[in-house]
Amino acid sequence: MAVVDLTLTDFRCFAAEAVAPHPEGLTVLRGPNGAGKSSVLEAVYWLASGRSWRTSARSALVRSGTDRAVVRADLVVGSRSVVVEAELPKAGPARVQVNRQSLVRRGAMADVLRVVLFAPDDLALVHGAPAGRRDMLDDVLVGRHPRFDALEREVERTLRQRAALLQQAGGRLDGAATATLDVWDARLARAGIDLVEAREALVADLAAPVAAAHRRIAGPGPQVRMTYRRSWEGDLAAALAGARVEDVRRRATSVGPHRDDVDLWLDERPARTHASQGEQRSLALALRLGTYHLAAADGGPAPVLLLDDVFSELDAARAEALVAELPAGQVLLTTAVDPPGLVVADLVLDVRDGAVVTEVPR
Amino acid sequence: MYTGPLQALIDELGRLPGIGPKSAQRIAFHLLKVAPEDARRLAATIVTMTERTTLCARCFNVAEGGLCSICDDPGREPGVLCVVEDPRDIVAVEKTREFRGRYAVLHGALNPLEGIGPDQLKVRELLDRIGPEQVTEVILCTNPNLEGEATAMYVARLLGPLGVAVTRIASGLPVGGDLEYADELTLGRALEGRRPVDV
Ligand SMILES: [Zn+2]
Repeated sequence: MAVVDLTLTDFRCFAAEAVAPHPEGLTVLRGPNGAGKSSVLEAVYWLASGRSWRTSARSALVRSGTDRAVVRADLVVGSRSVVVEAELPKAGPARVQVNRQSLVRRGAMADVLRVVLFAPDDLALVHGAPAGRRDMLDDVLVGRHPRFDALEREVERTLRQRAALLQQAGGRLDGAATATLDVWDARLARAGIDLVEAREALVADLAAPVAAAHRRIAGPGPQVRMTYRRSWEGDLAAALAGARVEDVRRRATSVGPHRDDVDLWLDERPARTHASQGEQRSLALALRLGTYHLAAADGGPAPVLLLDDVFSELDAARAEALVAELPAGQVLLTTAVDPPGLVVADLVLDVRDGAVVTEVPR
Repeated sequence: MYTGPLQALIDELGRLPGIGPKSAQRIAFHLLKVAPEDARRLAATIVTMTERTTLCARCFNVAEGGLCSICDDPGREPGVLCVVEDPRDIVAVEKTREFRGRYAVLHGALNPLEGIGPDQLKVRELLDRIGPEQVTEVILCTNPNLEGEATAMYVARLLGPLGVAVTRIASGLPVGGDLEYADELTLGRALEGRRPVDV
């Protein structure tokens, strides 16, 4: 899949700008910090996922002085042409259309546009909070099958309903609250185990491509392993029942998919606490590349690869290893510095003050 | 923005569900052009509707005093109950012509985020009908979304000890959807394919 034409209207610093990336090669977006090159990647990422990795505030995506942004993309998916258009108001729900039909299920977008993003703060995947690692898995799952989008929403909403009930109980349960909590727990146990088993299967599938990517980036050395760690043992329904007294007292849900984690290991060392900054960086790159290779191996058109300002953080050896890994499909790469000499761009776009100029078509 | 009475109407219309500021304006300007007797008839219809429409004393469907037209119909089977969230869902089920029993309207679904628990729903009233009406089967037709499923499970658990057969409309309805918007054929099949409920 590829983005062949991207039109940004009142998106970030762009009033009205059209960008035409190379359809099947590497496009380098070059420009000083703050010029808007990351915003181009952000627009593509938003179309694919409905969110931004740079901000959770919608208003930040809308050009100041206007009340809505519009992102439109002409896509090529296999042999099909698809038009995707998103309208992002400063507040309120965004509207997304695929070929002029309203997108009802977010997960259906994966059929026409999937992306894998490398961003400077990917390091947090290794040393940061568990939520980042869970989100990474959940994002990949949605790309694998749209039904996981519905499942993730169901788990999330059930957790919110349970939290609301625990808040209202105010530390103690009467008969009616107990009976309703029983119901929410039964729902959570059922949907939760489905999600966790899907995550565990994904971790198992990711293990080989991540380890292989890591060997290519970091060379021979410690072996990477990934293990999914549940926040409970045995049956989830029983675990929820066992934690209930404490949950009611603390007004929070202490076990479930929202408390699980993925442990990353370098041989027998936990990477989160016992890896050097350089090792963590190699591992973060390997996670992203492994995700990309798994998605490409799942069949269907390969995802679009987005690399945001990654070379500023990498030493020469890792930068070279990453360049060697770049796949044949569409890649969009932003950089403020000159990319390593090995980067062979098919198209270079200069981005300055909210304008995109085609510099070196080849 | 506009003169007093016109703006007042726009404001009132804008408070209605599904009507944004632009639609409110359009309707108000349309009404500005209609004959006074047409406007009076519309106003009177609204007032009459709100004054005369009540909830059925038995099933909480909309009614005109006393029982609703379905509860009043001697041709309906008394032993089978269809449980729905909203009176509008009765219309959807009736259109399928697959159901000949009576209804029980809960007036909502369990939704702690919106402060709705069992006490806000007509659950007690449903349970109180099982014995007197000699109910043998209850079909749970709550919406096929998270809150509707949770409500079905909750009601099923309460009905279990009362010795009635409890079934749930078959899946196949769009998940996350509203019964109100399901088409007749799909809902008809869902009713026909009902199955024992998960508890
Ligand atoms: Zn009635």
